[in-house]
Amino acid sequence: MRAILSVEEVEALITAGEKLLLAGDEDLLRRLPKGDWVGGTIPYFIAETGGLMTREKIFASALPPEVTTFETHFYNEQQLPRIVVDEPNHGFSFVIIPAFTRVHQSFAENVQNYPGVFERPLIGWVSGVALDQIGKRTPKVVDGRTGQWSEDGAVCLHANLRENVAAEIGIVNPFVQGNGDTITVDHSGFKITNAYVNGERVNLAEYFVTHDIGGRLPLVANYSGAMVNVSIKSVNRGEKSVEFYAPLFPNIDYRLAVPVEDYEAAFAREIGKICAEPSLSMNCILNYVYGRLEGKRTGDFTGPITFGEIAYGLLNQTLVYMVLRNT
Amino acid sequence: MLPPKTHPKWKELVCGKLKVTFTLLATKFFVTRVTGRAKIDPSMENINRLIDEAYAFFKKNEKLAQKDIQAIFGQEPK
Repeated sequence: MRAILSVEEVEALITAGEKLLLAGDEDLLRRLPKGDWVGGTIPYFIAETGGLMTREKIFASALPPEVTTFETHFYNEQQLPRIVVDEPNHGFSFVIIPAFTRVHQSFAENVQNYPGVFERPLIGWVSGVALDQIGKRTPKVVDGRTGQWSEDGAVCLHANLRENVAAEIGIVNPFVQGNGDTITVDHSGFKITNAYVNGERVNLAEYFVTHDIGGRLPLVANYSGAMVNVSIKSVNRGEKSVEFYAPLFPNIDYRLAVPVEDYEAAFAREIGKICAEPSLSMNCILNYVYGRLEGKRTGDFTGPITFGEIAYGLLNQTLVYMVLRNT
Repeated sequence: MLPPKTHPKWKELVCGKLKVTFTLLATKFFVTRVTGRAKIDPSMENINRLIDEAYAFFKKNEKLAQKDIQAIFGQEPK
């Protein structure tokens, strides 16, 4: 079950013992009773009827019945690598990280170096706030089992699956690499000053200004066939630096994406290739804004619209989903 | 059953010399990481360590990654 519900409807599910992953405005989540749920703050969603922003409803995803047991833990910045250590031997882990925090930055920059991170499914999202509330309210996460909230730690639910069922994480990316210049960096980071364009060292901000880059198109890297976006946050002419919504990494070739005219059609085309019903799904606030997804549908792939999607690592402008497969 | 770590395809995989199409997202991310590390440090010691990692990854995901294993080793891995 994945649906957008009233507080009262979610409360009834919790009281009935449903195991839930919740996304909603902080004021709504704070009204819920303790129970088998974890949640994160965000008021944007893709519902069955299409994209919407609401502070009146909560998006609830029930843990699939194939989940036998689960544990929940909080992780601060130093504890983050333990997420992988704590992952169940047979199951999946679902993490929510509050945006604009050290935990958010550290996870994004370092998760690929956590030993064994790709061996077991790790999915999740970055919590946020209404866009007009950035700087006024803080994104948060909550463990419904204890009622504990955090604005600087990640909450993770480690779920065990019954035998003969396995979780598979996938992504739907409306973007592909263009045929333009290849951009590389010699150190990882969200903020880049100098980079290499086709091997030649340049100031990245000057290069972006000269080539009119810095709008809605992400840089795209090809990870052995998976298109991975890094979205541009700002081009700082004064500082001569470029900020991104996810880190750039050395030894990865980035190119500007091919423009997407119709996001809804692009998602529909890519989603059509997936022959499975998703158990979980989340999309990006930048797709919602740039792609004008309000009122537009993305098939059965409903869920929160987030400040970052997690499929092993932090992604941008991408739909992330999980399906269960019989093995 | 996975081929032993001495199978030459393991080394080709971690050194980025295999041109195959992978299916599983985890495989795509994993292969990108190990091939990147092999480029940074191509010593035999590091390559062997990366082969150990690759073996552990596919052992853990042997069922879900069956298509990828077949893409690497052929239809009947030995």
